Amino acid sequence: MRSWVAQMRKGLIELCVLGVLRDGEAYGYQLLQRLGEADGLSISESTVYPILARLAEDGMIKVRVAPSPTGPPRRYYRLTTLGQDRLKEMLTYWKDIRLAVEKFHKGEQA
Amino acid sequence: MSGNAPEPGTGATRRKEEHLHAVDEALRRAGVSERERRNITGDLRAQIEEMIAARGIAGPTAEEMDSVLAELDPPETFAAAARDNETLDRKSAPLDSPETAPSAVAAASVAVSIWTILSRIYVVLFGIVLPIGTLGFEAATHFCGQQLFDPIPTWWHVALVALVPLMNLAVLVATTRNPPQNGPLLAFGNGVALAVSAFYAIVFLPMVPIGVVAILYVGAGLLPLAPLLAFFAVLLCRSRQKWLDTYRVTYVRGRGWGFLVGILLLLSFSASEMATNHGAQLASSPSSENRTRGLWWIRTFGSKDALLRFCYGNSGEFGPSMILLPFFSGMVTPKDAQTVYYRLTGHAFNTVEPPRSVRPGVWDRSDFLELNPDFRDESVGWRDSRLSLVASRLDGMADSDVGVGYVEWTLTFRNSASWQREAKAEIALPPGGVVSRLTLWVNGEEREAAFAGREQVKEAYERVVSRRQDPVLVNTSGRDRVIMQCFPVPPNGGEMKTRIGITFPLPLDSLSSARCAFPRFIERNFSIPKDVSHAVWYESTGTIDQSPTGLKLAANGNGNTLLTGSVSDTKLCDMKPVVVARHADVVETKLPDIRSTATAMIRQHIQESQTSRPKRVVLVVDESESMGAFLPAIAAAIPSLPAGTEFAMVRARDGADIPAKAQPATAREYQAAAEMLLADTAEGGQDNVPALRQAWDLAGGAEGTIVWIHGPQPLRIQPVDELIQCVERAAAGPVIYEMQVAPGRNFVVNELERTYGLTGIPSKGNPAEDLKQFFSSWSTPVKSWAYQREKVDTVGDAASTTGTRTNAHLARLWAYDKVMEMIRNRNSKTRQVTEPANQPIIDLAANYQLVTPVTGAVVLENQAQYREAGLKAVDASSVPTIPEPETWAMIIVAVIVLGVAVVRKHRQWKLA
Repeated sequence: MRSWVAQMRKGLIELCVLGVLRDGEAYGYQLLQRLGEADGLSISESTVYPILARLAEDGMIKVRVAPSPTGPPRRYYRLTTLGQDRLKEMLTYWKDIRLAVEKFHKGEQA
Repeated sequence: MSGNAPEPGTGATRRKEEHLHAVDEALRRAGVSERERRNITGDLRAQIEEMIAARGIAGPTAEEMDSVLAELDPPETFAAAARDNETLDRKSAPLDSPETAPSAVAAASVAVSIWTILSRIYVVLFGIVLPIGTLGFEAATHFCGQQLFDPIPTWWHVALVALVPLMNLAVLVATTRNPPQNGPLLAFGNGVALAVSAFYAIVFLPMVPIGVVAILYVGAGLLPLAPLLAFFAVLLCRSRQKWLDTYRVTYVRGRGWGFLVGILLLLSFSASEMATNHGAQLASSPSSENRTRGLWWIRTFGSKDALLRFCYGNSGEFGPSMILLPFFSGMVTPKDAQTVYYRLTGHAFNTVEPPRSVRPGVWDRSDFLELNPDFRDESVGWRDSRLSLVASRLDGMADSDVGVGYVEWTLTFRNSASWQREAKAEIALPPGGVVSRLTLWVNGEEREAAFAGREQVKEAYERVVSRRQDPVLVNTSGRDRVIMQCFPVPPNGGEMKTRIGITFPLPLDSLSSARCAFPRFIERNFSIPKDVSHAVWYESTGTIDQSPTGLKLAANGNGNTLLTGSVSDTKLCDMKPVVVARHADVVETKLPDIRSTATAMIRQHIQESQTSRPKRVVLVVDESESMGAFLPAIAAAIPSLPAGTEFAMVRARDGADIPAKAQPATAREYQAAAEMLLADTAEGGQDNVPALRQAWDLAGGAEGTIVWIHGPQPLRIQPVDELIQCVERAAAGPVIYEMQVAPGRNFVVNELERTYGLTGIPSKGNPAEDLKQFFSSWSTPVKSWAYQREKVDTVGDAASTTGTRTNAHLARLWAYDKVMEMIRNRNSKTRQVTEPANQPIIDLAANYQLVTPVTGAVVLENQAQYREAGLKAVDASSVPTIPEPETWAMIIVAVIVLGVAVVRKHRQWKLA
């Protein structure tokens, strides 16, 4: 069961990260905190930061370095056009999956 | 701080760095690219700091850091997450595509590794090895400096260029360390290296195609490409170093500051040059005010070295000015720069070692002056330690009764440089002396000189020099001065030997004593090693009262006195004339004129006279820097001038007041003039021509006397024509006495001597005392004795019995007097014609084999060269000679042997 949860969560984290960034730019720790606010996801830095790095590498998000009042510079991430397209595509796919899953488990929910 | 309290900062930082490094290592093992690792650890670092800040800790201890790190995922989990990431979605793989094969991940990892390895190899080869090699090659050979421009004219440039490979090496080493160290310093250095390499790459960009073509066709030519290749290496290092940014934002700033500092350093190298250029342009202005401002500008902000480079038409020091100057303010012309250099320093630009960029290279075996023919003039030039005098002997004789001396100075030069050099020296002759012999050893054989018109011998010398054959040339460079130049002293230890013969009068102190002075170097472009001294052998018919230090007196058996020994060059320069006794009753000498008809004789008699006070005295004082030490001596001598004489003083300096007319002076006026001189600061190089022109007017004709005390003036700053015109056209001009108290060429003296004739202030070897005595002699008339020589045709008259060995010299001194008289008289006789009648004067001087203001002497290598130049070497039998010491020794030995033989024979005869 734990393995299944982990697999499912990993697939959705990228969607969540892009979703958070749709609302505006955020730095790594800030993004981690926002994702952490959502129950059920319970993700940590070891999951999010590699995803951020990969998304940046793929051009989905752009990084801006700005000074921080608390310490080292903050790396602010924001969605690129490519990232926005990707998010739309993923959301569509996610809606389809969710509808499909809900269709099979309608009775249980009711 | 208490002793047991945990120390914040250091331990905590180490723990944090270790954790971050462990994460980085885990990610690296998982095949995550460097850039991604940089981003991940950057985010993680920021998070740690945020967490610490959230806890309100300013400087966490190691324990506090541990508690923060404990809240984080262990490093290995990053590796697992990264691997999942790879498998989840990689690059352009569609969302519904099958999982990427593990082999693809491995391939990507390998590709990253190859790129890293290649970039490192590039940095090592083109960012470290090639720049160091190129810098070393250029520093050792100055190849680029001599062919194009000098990219490393100063050690500062060398240091700046060396910084590029050093910083590349430092970054390379630092980025492979765990954890990386000295980040801020490296970032700063990388910024400087970027600025420097970018600038050099731009400057060398035009040479890149040449380098590429050379590599393609010749297989070599990396050097011109080195700056550009190094620039790319710095960029690669910059990229490698960027991941350090994840540690501190200050690195980014540091790199920016470094770049700025690099640019500022490059600009600062050019700042003084730009200021010099601006100042030199101002100082070349005809306005006296602008000239003064320009010189101030150069003294305050500029540089003498930069000005020297401008003198050679050099585009300037390697720096942004190379690019900026031609576009903005323009470059000062070499001719203007040369004048400004003299005005600034007081000496000619070519009396100091030239900039490296115009010196011969290691492969160039030609002479510097040959490479820069425009700068070949009568200046002695700078002194090169590799060109040296290795042997020197002075063989002289003095006939005190006749009042004539002759000395032969034999000089051997050696050149240890790898290129040919011209040995050059300005020589002070004994007062009233004249060069009457010149020889050069060619293939071990001594060759005699040709005496002819000054320009003719100079032209012959230049022609032979251009073929790199052996000539030696002697010309006058002022009163009692000659310039000797011989070329080429062969490179790599080659030697050249020459001999100069000087005929000179022995000035009379009284009827019973005369003075015999020695020649000496005033300026020379060769060194004299400590172990080389001048070997002296003087024979005098009269007794010498006291020997100079280092020399000893001896009798040579024939009633003459020998002065022998060895003296250093310093001692020779300081040596006072020796006093030689003479027979007071010998007041007339009559000797055959060996260069004229069989019946002609030279009659010399001693005339007694008293100094007479001039009506008007105009004192002209050069206030150039070289006169600084002598101004107090002039000030001290002025009060010795006779009271009541009309007096005016003209100071040769920019902006000095000009007196309206000469006024009768008392002690008070003389004192005021002396104080004025003492208040002045001698600086730079002044033009004496305007001062002399004003003095000429103030002197007001033949009743006036001009006394000109000066240093060297190697350049013609303003046209001298107006002064010469005054001298040539005046019905009767004043007597011009001159005294040069500092060594160096003075072209005004040369011009005036050739057209008018200057009179020397009687010298006893101490200029300050000589000047004082000269002025005093006008206040209190003193007796003096001078030789009067004339040529007479006395058929059947008996020649004097004394001085037969010096008859050739007496004739030469007569001829020299005659030449100088003809030069003086020529002007009054040719006042109405445009061309002065030089030829009879030249013919007379050449016939008596004299170097005068209108004639010179040159030794050429062979007869063909003499024929080509229209010259004829003098007959060896006609030249004056000194009996060689060896000859004397042989004579003495022969006399002794003969004496012994006679005594033995006499004894045998008696016994028999």
